[in-house]
Amino acid sequence: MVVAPPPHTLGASDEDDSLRRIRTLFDRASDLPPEDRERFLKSQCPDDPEVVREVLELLERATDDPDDVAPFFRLDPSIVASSSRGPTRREHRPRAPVLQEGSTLRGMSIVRRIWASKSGDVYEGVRTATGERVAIKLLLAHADSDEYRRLRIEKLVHEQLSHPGIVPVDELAVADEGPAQGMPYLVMPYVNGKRIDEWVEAHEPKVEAIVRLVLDAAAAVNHANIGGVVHRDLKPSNILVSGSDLSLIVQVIDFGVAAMRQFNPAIEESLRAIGDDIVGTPEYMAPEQFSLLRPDMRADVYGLACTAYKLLSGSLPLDVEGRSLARIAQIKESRPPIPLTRRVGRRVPRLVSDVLEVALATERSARYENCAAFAEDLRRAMINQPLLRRPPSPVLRLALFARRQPLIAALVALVALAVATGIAAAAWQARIAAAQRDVAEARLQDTLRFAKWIMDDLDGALVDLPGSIPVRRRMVAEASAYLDRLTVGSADREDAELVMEVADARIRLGDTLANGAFGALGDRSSGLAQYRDALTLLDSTLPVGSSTRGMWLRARALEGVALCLDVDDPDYPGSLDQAMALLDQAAALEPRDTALLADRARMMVSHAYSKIYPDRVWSLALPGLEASVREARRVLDMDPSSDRSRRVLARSLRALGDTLGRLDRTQESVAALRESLSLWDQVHAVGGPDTGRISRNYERASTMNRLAAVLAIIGDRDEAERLTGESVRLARRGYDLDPESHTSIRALEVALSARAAALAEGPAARLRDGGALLWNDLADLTEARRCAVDAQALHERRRELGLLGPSEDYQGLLAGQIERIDAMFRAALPPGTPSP
Amino acid sequence: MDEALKRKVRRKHAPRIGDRFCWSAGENGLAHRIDPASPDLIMLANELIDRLQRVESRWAQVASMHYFLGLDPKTIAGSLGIDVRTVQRDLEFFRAWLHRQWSFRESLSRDRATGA
Repeated sequence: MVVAPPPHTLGASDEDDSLRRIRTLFDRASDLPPEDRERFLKSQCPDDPEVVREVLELLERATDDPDDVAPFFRLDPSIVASSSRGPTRREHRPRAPVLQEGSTLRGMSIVRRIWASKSGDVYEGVRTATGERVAIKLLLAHADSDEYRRLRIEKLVHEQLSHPGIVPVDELAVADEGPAQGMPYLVMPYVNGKRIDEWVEAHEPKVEAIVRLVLDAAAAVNHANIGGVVHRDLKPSNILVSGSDLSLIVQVIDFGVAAMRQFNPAIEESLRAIGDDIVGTPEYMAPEQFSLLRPDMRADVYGLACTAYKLLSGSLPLDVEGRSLARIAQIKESRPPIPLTRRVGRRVPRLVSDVLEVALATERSARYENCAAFAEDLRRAMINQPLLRRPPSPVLRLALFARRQPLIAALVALVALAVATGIAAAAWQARIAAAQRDVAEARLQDTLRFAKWIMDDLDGALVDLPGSIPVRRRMVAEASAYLDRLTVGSADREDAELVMEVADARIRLGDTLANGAFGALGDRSSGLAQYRDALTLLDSTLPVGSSTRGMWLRARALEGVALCLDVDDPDYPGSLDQAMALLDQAAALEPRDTALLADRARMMVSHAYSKIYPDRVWSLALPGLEASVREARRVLDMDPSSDRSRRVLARSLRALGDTLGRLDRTQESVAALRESLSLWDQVHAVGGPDTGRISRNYERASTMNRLAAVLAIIGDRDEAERLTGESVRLARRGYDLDPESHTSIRALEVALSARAAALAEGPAARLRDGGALLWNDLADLTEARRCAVDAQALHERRRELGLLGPSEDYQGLLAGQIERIDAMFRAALPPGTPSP
Repeated sequence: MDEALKRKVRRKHAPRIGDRFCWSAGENGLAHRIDPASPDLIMLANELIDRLQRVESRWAQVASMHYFLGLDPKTIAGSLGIDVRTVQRDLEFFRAWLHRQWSFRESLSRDRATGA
């Protein structure tokens, strides 16, 4: 039996009124105590028990766990971070441990693997002779590697240090037998503790307790600093907390990237061998560490303050998570830390926020000179005493005094009240200005984060959501609207970086809507609006020629605009000319930037095609296409491992081969198309045969179609037929996966039409030679007609869905193809035979 | 989408969509009652948001920003210039409505399957 349908699931326009009424009742009843709700609803709807029942049911469901339906897509900084760093979103399969449980390593028995990374494992072990628990850090590297040198530095550093807050190192050796033979390892006492951030998360301690932990860590780091050692990589994962709540032990680990303040020949030798790499964890590194300045104790002050900030607020002092090294360096060097109180409000004392602000100063000369000074001020901050490093303002001094001597302060305040009234108005204005600045800053950060999400994640999200064009459209529209609202307050900051990020995001939205390979929604007018918005934004803020990236983005937006236009539109070639000129200019400025050069080679194809119009003279595209192939080859030579460059060359060759074929230069055409196909096969092999990326299959199928068309003309019909068969199979796979995607429909349509042409070419040639059709020919023609009719139906479907682009109406061509096939049937079959 | 195609999509993409859409596996929540990999719930949410749009665009916008962009109530409130409590109320209603509509559809398809 079917339960009674909710009233607004069926019916017509009354539904809207019903929904509004239900919502109004829901809101009003929600404000009442649960026991009064039913009475209230019955009084409001005495004649409509169905509505009463429905609202009660909704109210009941509304009190369920609010998180039981999570957002379908989540704008989450950690997702953004993982997406920009590559494959971390996909859990990569853990590597099997080198040492198995129960195996032995030089008198130690392995208990378990604690942790694994790409470069090595950490095991818990027991010394069989003494029963002492140890941690063994095993490197999957040889003794002449940089990793080994770092282990050696760690050992040498520890020889100079002895502090309860620093985990000592017992020995450094190289395994001489067993599965780890030849691998270096470090042995240290086992600490049964947790990373400090995990401990804080698990225990949710008060601010005072967190500060105490930081003070303990500061004491340990200070000891190392006094011993001449700079840790250089202080972060939550390198600080362990163990022991019970009554006696917590904080210990600093991993001195593998430490540097010496005083000359130590052995360490200097190892450091020289490693070279001048930037070492540390970018998010926690002091700004000067990026510029390869020799770090001093103030780098550790920064790292520790950064850790404290993260523990107290859950965030980093600057929104740098997930960004590239260069971008993090740029942000750290140009922006001051966001004050802690702005992140967490009054939960953390203002003075603690001030101390961290000093410790996180961009200029190291403005920071505490060492961890001892930092710790001293932290202590003072916790007991409301004025800080040593930065004398508090007079107002703050008064506030501190008031806290200690409230009575005297109250009397003083009464006297001062009259004078203060005038000042208060000015102060209030200043406060409003500061609040507005905070809002603008928060909005700026949101905008950057969101723009990045669009660039890194949106396309992936859409690809993972097959068969739902309306949902995709909603996501893109919502993303665009949100970006609009964010940029209203942020764009006037004239922050070039922000403007470029937003413009980049708009261009990506345009690609997703109109011009992208897979996932494009076929909505050219909305895509055009996005590209134009990007251009307006760039034009209004960035002077033309002010930066390479600015030029590049302008060029991409102009290209996007051009590709959304009809080929006969006068703006079509003009936009591409402008775009090409900008990219030429940018490439001249950055002649080693392979990403830029590859994109230029790619755009040379669009530019070359624009020369064909308005008279449709294909030979006019040839010089540009040949130049594009040359350029793409050069870029691939510069970076042979780049998959992007390989794809660009494959596309350029396909365009060239296709055009040569149209100009009857068939041999050259076949050579270019074969090379293109071979490159797609390489790309395909790299990506794996079934990665689900339809775009790759589409690109291969498209190349096969063109090669087949030329092969059919030169008489290699078997090969043409084989290729089109494979191309239809690939396109159908994409279509099965996502039958509503514009790209899927178009790919299958084109593949079917190409197959029809290839199959019909044999019988056509026989008829041209004056021969009679064989049974095989009739079978081919039947199959060709079926393909052509299917292609026509798919084309019609695209039209119905509003997905046909400008100059894309091939209905006449497809009908002509069917007509030609029918004509061959008529020629071959006796008059009066029914149509196939 | 016809049923056969839905099944195919579901089968092919079950792990990926499940991973991606962050379904919670609460004991008493909706998650344990529905196929966590089903794109149908997303389609239903999309349809309901369209209906809200006809009645009151803000209700639709709040639901859309939360479920399709993953924005939290505070961010949505800041973006739309409305109170956080208003956003929370909009989301409470939408979630309850989604539950109810989903249950109805489930019972409908169950009855169809059993021929009732």
